[in-house]
Amino acid sequence: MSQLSRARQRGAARAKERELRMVREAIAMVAMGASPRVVLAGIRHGDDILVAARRLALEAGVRVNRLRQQEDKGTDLAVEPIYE
Amino acid sequence: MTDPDAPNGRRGLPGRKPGDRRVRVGRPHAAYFRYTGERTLVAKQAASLPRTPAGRALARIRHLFFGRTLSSEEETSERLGVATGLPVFASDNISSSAYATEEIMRVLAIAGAGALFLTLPITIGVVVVLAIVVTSYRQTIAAYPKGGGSYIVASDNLGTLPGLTAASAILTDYVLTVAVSISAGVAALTSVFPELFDHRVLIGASLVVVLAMVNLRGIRETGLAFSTPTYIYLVSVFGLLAIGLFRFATGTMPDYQAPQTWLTAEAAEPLGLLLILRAFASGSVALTGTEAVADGVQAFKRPEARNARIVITLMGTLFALIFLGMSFLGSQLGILPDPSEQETVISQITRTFVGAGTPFHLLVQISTAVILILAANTSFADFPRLSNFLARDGFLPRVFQFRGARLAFNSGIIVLATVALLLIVAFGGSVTALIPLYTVGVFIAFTLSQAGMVRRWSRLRAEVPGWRKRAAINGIGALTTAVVAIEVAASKFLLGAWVVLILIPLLIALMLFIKRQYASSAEQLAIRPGAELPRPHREERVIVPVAGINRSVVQAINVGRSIGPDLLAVLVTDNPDEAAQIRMRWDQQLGDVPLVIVESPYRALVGPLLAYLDVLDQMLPDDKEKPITFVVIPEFVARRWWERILYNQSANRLRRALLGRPHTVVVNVPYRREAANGNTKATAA
Repeated sequence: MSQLSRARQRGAARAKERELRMVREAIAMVAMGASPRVVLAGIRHGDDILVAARRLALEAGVRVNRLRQQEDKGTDLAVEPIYE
Repeated sequence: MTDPDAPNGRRGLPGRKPGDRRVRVGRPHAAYFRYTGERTLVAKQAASLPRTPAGRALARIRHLFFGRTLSSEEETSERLGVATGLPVFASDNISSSAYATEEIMRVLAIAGAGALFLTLPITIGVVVVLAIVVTSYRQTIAAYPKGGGSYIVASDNLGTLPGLTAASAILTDYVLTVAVSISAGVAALTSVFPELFDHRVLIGASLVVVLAMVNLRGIRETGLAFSTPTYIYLVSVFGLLAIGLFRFATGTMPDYQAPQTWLTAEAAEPLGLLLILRAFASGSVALTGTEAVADGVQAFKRPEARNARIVITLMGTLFALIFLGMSFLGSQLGILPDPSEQETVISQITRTFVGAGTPFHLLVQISTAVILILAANTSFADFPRLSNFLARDGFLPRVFQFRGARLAFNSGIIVLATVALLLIVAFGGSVTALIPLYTVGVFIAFTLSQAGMVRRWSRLRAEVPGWRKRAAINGIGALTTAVVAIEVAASKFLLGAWVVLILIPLLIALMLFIKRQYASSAEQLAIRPGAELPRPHREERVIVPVAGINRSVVQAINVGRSIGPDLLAVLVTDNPDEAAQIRMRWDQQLGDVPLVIVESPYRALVGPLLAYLDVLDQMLPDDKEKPITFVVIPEFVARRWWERILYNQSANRLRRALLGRPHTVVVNVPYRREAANGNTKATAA
């Protein structure tokens, strides 16, 4: 594996980690009742982190929905309470 | 413009002949600054001029009322000589001669007309106290040529608490001097023009505003503005005394007949020691304003101390002559004070000698009214100066230290005028209602100041020849003023002195609180000399609150990108449909920046955003240091001031809410309308 691709992988891993952190923060916002819905847009790894995000959401008593980006470029995420 | 590549703004130019070389030195700041050395610039007046049309218009109006802006270097020329210093600093004390005799007579008259024979002896007693105080203050001025008011002398020699006691007492009295003098001046005017009586509060308030404006223009103008009326008063009153004494010497004293009702209306108390002491306390009101000269030594031209000593001696002498003369003539004529307070004792003496309504009678009355109003000016000279000393020592907010465009301590002047104005309104412009609050503070301050001087001479006994004599003079001053302070407080306590006696400790507590706050913040900010300064070590994250996608937001995002890579935008919205559209556009146009949409069904903007920031902090592990959060606020700046009212209200609210939030930096990114045409270059303010 070239040095360049290793750097790319590290960058992607950091970006995923960061986006997952944003999901955690959004879950906390909804779980503590600060907002009924928090949407995360402009994220690059929505599909990749979806499973982990849903597991985290379930633990907090909320849910994560996927929202399709325009022209199906990727996935945005919406955090909502389970019982609306 | 200078060549950016040229070192130190120097640009090489080709000469006219081969081998010639020219150098052009660029001075890009020359319009606004003088270059006084390497890396040293001195701002010219042009640097302070407003740049907007509204600012320039406001500056023109200010110029019209307050005059041109003076540079700090012009301060020396703003100082006062003896001739201009006397009216500025002595008008308060000298104006007391307009009512001091009457105040003594009013108390003695309670025991009947027969008790009025004590007017002159009590006057002599008050003059003796005045002589002691003036002599003591002459020593204080010599010892403290940079200004030796009660606060400085007491804190220097007795400690902080006595110093603050003196300062609080004297500040209270400066305010009361303005309120009482203005009210008394207006009362003198309304005696001559009774139709003005119903408007006395409005007239008094207007006079306070006029005095404040004159003082905001600067002290030299004040001296000039107040010289003529003070000298007219002195000439007219000494003219009256000359006429009276001539008539007495030649045995041609006119007859005076008081209305019969004035004689029978009083005689409610027997003449006893307590009544005599009360009369003495009332006469002691004459000593107010004596310390003004000692407090303002630095306002005099060089040699400051010598000029100040001349002025305080002149002041005491002139006052004593008028006071003794009036009491003497009043006693010789058998004048009685008017129980209804419609006519003053001075007016009665004047009309008895020269006739009622004559030009000389009017001159004495009007000049008396004017000097009473001007007496308030002494406080306008000294209250701001004392506030400056207190602010310098950290006992008052630092704003009291700053000099305005005309070198005056604007904040002190404005605070004094405001409180005095409120007092005049609250007490309905009534001198009778205000007078019981007066004088107590002055004598407390006198006592502490003189006691401080005694301590000083004792401390410097090895260095000061004749220290015993000096200490004795100040010791007699301290003892005398202490006795008078106790006597005045006791005799006026129930009449209103209690207000001042409560206010003084409250002011002391406030000043100590301010000092503690400043000391605490200074301790937090202090860096030990030689200490190793830490490099930045916290992580940084950047939050850009957005309301949609526009040029202002893009500029803020770009500024956010330049701060750090951990950047995200936050949209707080009460409209999910609109938010969905924004999300679509965001993904398309700013897809590399994460956008967090926080729905806010209760339509609040600031609260949910703060909650989000709190959540960001809470989600961090406890052992991890909180990162610095940069909140980059996009701000649209309209071209005209009135347009600006329409924008940025949410941004302002957010800024206020974030003020003081730990490890949070607020960055305003103004997008100016002029910067349109696709120019999204970021400028952080």
